[in-house]
Amino acid sequence: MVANTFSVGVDVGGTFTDVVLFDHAERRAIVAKVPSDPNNQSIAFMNALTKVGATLSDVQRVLHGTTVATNAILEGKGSRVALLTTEGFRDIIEIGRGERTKLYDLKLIKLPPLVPRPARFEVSERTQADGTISRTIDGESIRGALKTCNPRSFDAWAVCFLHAYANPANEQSASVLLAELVGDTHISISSAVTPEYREYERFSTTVLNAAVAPIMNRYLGAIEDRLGDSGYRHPLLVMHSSGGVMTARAARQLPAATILSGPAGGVAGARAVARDAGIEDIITCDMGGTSTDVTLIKDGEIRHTSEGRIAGYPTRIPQIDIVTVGAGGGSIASVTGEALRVGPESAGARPGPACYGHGGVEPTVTDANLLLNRLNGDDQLSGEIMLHPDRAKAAVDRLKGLFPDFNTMDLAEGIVHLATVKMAGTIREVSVYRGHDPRDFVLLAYGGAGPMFASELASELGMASVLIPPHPGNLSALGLLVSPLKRDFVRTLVRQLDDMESSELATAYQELQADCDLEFEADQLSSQKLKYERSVDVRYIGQSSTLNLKCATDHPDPVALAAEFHTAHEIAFSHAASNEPVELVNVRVSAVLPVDSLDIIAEAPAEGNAIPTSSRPVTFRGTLIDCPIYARNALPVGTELDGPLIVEETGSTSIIWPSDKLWVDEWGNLRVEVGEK
Amino acid sequence: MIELDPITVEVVTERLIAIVREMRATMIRTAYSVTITEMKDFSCALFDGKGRLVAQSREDLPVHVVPMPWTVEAILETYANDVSPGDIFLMNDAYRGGTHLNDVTMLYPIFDGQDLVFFATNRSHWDDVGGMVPGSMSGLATEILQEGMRIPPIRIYDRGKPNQPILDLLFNNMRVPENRQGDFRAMLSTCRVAEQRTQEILDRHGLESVLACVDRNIERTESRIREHIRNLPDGTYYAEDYLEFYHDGLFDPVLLRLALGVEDDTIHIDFSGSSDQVAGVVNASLAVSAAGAVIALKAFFDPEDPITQGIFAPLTFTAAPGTVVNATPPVPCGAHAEIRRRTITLTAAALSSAMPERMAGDMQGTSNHTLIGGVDDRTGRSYVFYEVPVGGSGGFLEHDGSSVFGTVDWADNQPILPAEAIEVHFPLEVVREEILKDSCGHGLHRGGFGLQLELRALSRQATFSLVSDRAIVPPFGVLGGTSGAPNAYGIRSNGQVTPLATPGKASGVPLSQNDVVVACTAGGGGYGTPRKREPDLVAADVSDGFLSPEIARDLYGVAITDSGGVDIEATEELRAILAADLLEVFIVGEDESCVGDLGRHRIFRIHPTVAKKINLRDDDLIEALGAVPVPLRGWVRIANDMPADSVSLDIWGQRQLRVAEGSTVHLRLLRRRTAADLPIANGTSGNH
Repeated sequence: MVANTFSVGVDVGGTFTDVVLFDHAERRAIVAKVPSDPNNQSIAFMNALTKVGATLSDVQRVLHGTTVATNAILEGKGSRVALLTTEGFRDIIEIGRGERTKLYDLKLIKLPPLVPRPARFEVSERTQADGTISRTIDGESIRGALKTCNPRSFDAWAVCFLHAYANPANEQSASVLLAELVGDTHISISSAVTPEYREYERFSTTVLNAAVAPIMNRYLGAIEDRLGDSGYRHPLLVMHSSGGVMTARAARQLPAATILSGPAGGVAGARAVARDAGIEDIITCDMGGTSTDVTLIKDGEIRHTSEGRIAGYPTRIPQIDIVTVGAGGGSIASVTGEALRVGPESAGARPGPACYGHGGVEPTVTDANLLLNRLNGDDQLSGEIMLHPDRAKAAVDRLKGLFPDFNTMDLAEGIVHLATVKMAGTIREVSVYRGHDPRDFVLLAYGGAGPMFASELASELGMASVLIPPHPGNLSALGLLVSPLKRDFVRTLVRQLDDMESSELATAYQELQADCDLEFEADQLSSQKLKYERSVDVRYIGQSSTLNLKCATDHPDPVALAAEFHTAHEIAFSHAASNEPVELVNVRVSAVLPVDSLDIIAEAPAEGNAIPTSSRPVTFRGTLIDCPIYARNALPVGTELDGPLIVEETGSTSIIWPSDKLWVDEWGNLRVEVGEK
Repeated sequence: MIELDPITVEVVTERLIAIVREMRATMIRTAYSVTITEMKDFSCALFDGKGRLVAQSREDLPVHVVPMPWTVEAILETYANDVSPGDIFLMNDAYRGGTHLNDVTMLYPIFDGQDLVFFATNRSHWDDVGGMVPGSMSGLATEILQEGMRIPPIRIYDRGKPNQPILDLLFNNMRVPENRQGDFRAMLSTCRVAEQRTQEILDRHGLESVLACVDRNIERTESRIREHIRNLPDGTYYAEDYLEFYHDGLFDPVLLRLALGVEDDTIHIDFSGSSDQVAGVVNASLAVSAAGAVIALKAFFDPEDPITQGIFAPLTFTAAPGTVVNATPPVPCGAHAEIRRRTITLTAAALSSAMPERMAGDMQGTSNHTLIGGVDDRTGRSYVFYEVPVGGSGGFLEHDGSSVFGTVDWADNQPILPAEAIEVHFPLEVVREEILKDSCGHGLHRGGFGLQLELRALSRQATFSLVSDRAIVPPFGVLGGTSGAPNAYGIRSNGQVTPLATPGKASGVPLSQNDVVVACTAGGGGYGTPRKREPDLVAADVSDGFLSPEIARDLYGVAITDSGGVDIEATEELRAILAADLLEVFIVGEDESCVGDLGRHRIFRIHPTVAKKINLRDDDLIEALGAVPVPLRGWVRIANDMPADSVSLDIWGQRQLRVAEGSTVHLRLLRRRTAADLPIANGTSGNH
């Protein structure tokens, strides 16, 4: 790396925008937080750069985690999309798969369709399952399909044809013909957005992509302009859901790939931190106000999936396998019947917990933590929000009517304990589902609220140790810096493995690699240093989910793959059916342009003694114990302390329980040996 | 007596629920069959040592979990006081707390020292349990022996030792036995996980405390449901409905009846008056029939709260053995899903007069088991395509029903298969998959629309089979809402659609190359009077192409302008006419209005003047609207001996509609008898 060069990562969240400026020569990181502006993320973006004093002409990489696409979808503020689809199938986008999301509810209603029926247009065309085109498309048929509408009256178009994954020709011609009619209106075609089979999921992904494309285009354009004005001379890089970055150009084409942009940055950061510390197996726990994101990393490998969901709608874009649990600091405690419940309702960012003083009156987990003194009542959250313990008490006391024998502190502790138990149940379930026992993992806690719960959560899961990285509230921004340029390409190719020509597989790989190279060329990046990660999705005939197998070469032998699948199935599911035929479903290539490890020098002092700044009484299992408080940035490397104690830093508080042991490793991570609770 | 604090109760409860969730994850990880790993056709639960349901997850299928207490009871009846550590029990007996024979239940006792504390249970759908056809399910079965191995409660492990001869006997009589063994081992794994985790909780909290928490949690569920019941006016609420049954070239619908008695904080459900069991698949155990009732009560009272044994405490059931709702050997029990849906509907219908605000229009009432099988010309291999297309759900107080949506007793299984997956895997072309125009029940809040699915057979040889229902008697509307369209299947050959000779039922109907199976699933019933629906909403449905302008005019009284808007003046006029358009007739009492051969169905005897007024003919299906939200269905018989402007109604009918002799009901036509219909069984054997 050239001296005096910098990288900067900016992660825009709902409440705060986090930024990390990394000096490659000094190997030091400067970290800051500024409030987000929900109406214009680009303002906070530039404010953040100013706050860390970035000189953009010296910056080589600006990396960005964004929730622009995510929020537009979650808030139902996407653009108005029109759908052009195969005759007979215009209602697929409304029919979906018919499943229910809740038991026993006569009044459950389906999600509203992503495109209203008058905006769905059918064209006579047909591609067969094997890719043969049985009805071609021409200008006449397109004009016929659109004769009842003004094609320019929509913000974006989605072209979704049956079996377009097998042969995109009809979609591509339709897109060209449509472009003549709609000018520069955005057009997403399903074979380009996600060439995987299963039409509802592919159509849904394509429509979502089209719905956020105009918004993303405007947003990235605004940022690029501001960056350019400030002297930045390189492509703006945007974090995508599968744990790499792509250029802003690519993000404009595939904005649906940024749905997990923020959380993916956190997972990338968590893996980097763990890897430096020599830990390969971690469960990451990113706890925020309304939800908690959980990921399982085994042998240093991040798991991926293409089965995502946002606001209930399916997406089929490769993403990190992140499970979101609807519980966080804002989860509301309530009484139904005679039972105390925590969640799933959340006070969210607004009004937020009662103690924020923004009008919330329901007791939340954060209110309980404040009353227990685990959260510092004198402090301000990241210097922005003043806390009001009196309002927290009033909120929790609302529950007393039903539990008259309980004092406020018992109730507060009950709320936190119950929230922890519920979250542990979910983490255990998702771990077992993925074939792992959480006890074999280290809990890596970050996000604003993660470090406060980590020890109790680990105990509940039977996990022996916890790692809390420096700046746990900024890990997503840090993760951006270690994320490589990466693009994912997939093609559905359903074939029985023992029945297919190996040349067919090799051809598929050649074509996918050519697609990769084209994309990197379009970004004016050299494809010379690209590493191709090839894999296939395979299953037994009749199964609906697949296992992903890595391929070492671009011409794998189908029969050998089948044999490998039997073994992988045995490992994953404890059994295999070696006589059953094996089916190829998808062929995948990820192209990665690797980045160097940052090797950040710890901020923690290299030596010295840990001296508490003060102390405060904290309630643990009904007992009030006076806990020393340490400032995170004053805890020297190598420090060893017995709990109970509190470590405070901007934006986060770590609670070390009475029988826990704490040490600070050479990278400045807090390492907790979890004791009995 | 142990001091319990509410936090500990919650924490222990959550930990017990977490055990069931971990059992589920373990099952999905380790089971062999796709039915379990993909369709998730299995459920887990924890019971206490007394056989009380303690915990289920939020994903376990109501159709499995709710009947489980009956299953556990059957096993405990057999082995009371004879349960040792290391014992494991297995059963699937459809007559003793089972569902259908494919659902096999494992009961695994968990001990604390020598004390029997919990049972882990796992009910899983085995892909094959023997019987006359691969997969064990046949709409043609006439006795249960054709549906596979009937396993009474057996001790399959005795103090840790497998009863290998019995296991061998079972597996030797099932197809693909290695998969069955795999699923059996997976069930064992889930129970062992439960045992280990339960032990951890016992170590942590102590036996006494855990049991006290279990008691408290069950009491709490019980007191909640009792409170809901107490809010209902005491009295008996009635409902009757049909399952469609054909034999010997006759349509002979089977009658289901339910009297729901509310007394203080208890409910008694009495199925007396339901048809005798028949030599066809439309029979079920009391566990299934009662489970339907419990699912409906849960939906009405308390859909959110997890289920425990507490919900069953205030409920009692009566069902005569040997009837369709409490089958005895040797009749088959394959259509348990249809019976369950009907008892859900009956319970909801009965409760609706006390809680109309909780009621919704009726659902499609069947799984629409659709099978196309044959030989794939491309590969020479045989194939079986199986799908369960869903229809619309009913409208309700706050909202329209949803189109093409899983029924209330289902969970997150996905009943609609991707067209692309169908075409990749089968020699079938999906010609069309569309929301079915005009199929909803109409109302203030209309029902959801059904689905029109067209499948073309591409290979030379194929057959089509169907087990469905609500193909003649459609899903009902409530509070004046109209019925949804029935489930309707037909075969299109050379452009001509031929409906099935026996609507809703087909077995091995041959398909020629390029024949198209046209499946139209039922719409949900409407809620409230259509002419009170917001005219703009009607116009929106018309402009979306979901509703014809003729229906908007004739049923909703909404006049649509050429530009698609509402003609307000014309609409007011139309609605004034519609308001006076229901035929009101006087009730003439009679002892018994039901007839049938093996089944039973209601006859409305009407005077010819009545028939003339709304153009009714003999054997037309009509409904009578009384003083309750749900209509009463029956078939027309024009009778000269009836007084003018009157209809006959027996005591049951009067009770159900809450009307008396001399007062009036409204009549309307549901289904015109056509020349193609099979004759309806009109035997006079009304005393079944």
